[in-house]
Amino acid sequence: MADVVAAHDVSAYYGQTKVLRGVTLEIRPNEVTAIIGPPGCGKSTFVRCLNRLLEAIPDARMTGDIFLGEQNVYHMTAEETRRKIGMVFHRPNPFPTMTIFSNVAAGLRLQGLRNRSSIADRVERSLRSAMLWDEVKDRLQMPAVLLSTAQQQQLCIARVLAVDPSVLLLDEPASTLSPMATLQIEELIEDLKTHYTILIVTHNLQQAARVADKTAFFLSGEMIEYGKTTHLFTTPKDKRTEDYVTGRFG
Amino acid sequence: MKVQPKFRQIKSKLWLFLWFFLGIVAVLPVISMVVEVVVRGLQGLSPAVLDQVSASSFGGNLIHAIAGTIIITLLTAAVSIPVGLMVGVYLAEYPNHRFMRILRGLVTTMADLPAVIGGLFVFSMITTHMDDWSMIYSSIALSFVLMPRLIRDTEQIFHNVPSIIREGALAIGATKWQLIFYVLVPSCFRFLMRQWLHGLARVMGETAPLIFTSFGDHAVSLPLAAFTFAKGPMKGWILEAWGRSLLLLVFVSILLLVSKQISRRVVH
Repeated sequence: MADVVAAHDVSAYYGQTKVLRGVTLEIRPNEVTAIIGPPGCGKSTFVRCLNRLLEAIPDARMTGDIFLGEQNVYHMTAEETRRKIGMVFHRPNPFPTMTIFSNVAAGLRLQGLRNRSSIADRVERSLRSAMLWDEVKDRLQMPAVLLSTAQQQQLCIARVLAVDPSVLLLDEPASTLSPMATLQIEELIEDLKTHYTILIVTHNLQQAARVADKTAFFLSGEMIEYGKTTHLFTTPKDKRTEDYVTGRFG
Repeated sequence: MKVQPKFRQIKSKLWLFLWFFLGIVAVLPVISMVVEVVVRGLQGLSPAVLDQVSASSFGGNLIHAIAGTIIITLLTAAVSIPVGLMVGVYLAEYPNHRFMRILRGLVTTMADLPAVIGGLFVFSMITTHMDDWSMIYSSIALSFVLMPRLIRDTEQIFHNVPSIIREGALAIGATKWQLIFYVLVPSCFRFLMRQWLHGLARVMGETAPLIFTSFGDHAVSLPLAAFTFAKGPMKGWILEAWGRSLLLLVFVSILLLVSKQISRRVVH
């Protein structure tokens, strides 16, 4: 069941440096929302605020509120928040010593689930959702690092789906992939949005135009503009957005 | 002035020869030492010499020394590896804790201390009070030598795990402890294993800490037995020392070879 994710006046700091300045943004369920902006504009930091992963970075802190549906994520544990708001990273990060099966099952085992058949069911369901099942069903005990980069990224998506999140954060998920593999991931995103709230960070404007229903433009830690992707790319309200999407800078 | 290609070729060959020569200079002592230990050690291990020494009043049973070395090494491992792992993980994973700097300073100082200090410490703190010599005290002394090195290595190994692997675990709801024991330790295990074997190979040959802790029983371990025999006045004893040195070399080489094999797997 997909939920709304709402950020209210979120600011973030690395030590004394303010990198995110009062961002307020509502991410709707069953849609793909993209965040675009030049490097260092706070896109990835914002995403890490949403699932409280920023807390894992030494000297980093945030202010403001994040709501998942009606619930403030700071009233849950960080672990619970991260299970509900899953995240996929800019490059595939399967656990290096684990098999394909164990990678997908990792989140379930960490929750204390021990029933083998129920784990196997969840692993299969997640791999099917990530469109990887047919390719790996006969070699589930193979080390995950032997998969191709694109397959590893699909595996990481399956690993996140296995713990049953309602939101998926994708931090430049195709930045290390070939054009064909990128297309595959984009098709997967399109398919997943029927079940999840999806937020994708991308430096690739064409990708945002292809996959996102709504787009937010970030610049120097501020959210400059947010709206339907077609509007933002064709009739931006802010001059800075126009300059960015037309390639005058960035 | 234009440099002639021929001159450059000659210069290149000269440099190459120089590096080769320096390489030989560096390796020669090691090779000659190994050859010397093997040749004389084999003489020292011949039945004739062993019989002669066994017949003497000086108790130098080879089996005792081998067993002693293995027991001391295992005891040292049992103390040093868990402590080295836990403290190394603490230093690597909780860098903002208050005592971290003090602890790291202490570990660095301890790792750089000469091994004999460890022996002297255990001698003054334990051996003199217990009024006895023991392999356990030797293991404690060797642990003082090995632990700080293992702590430093463990910390470094954990630092080398890419942050994206940590984030991957946290992003599926792992707690800090689950991250460490479910993901990081298995990911680092081969590297840790390599460092453990390396460390044990090093302390296996240490003599200085043993002098203060198990000197009363000269047959307790190979390095100490070699040291004791080497000081002896009789020719047979000197040969015995060589024999024990050879055995020590074999044990250390086995550990290093296994460690090397593990690092090969790590690379691939």
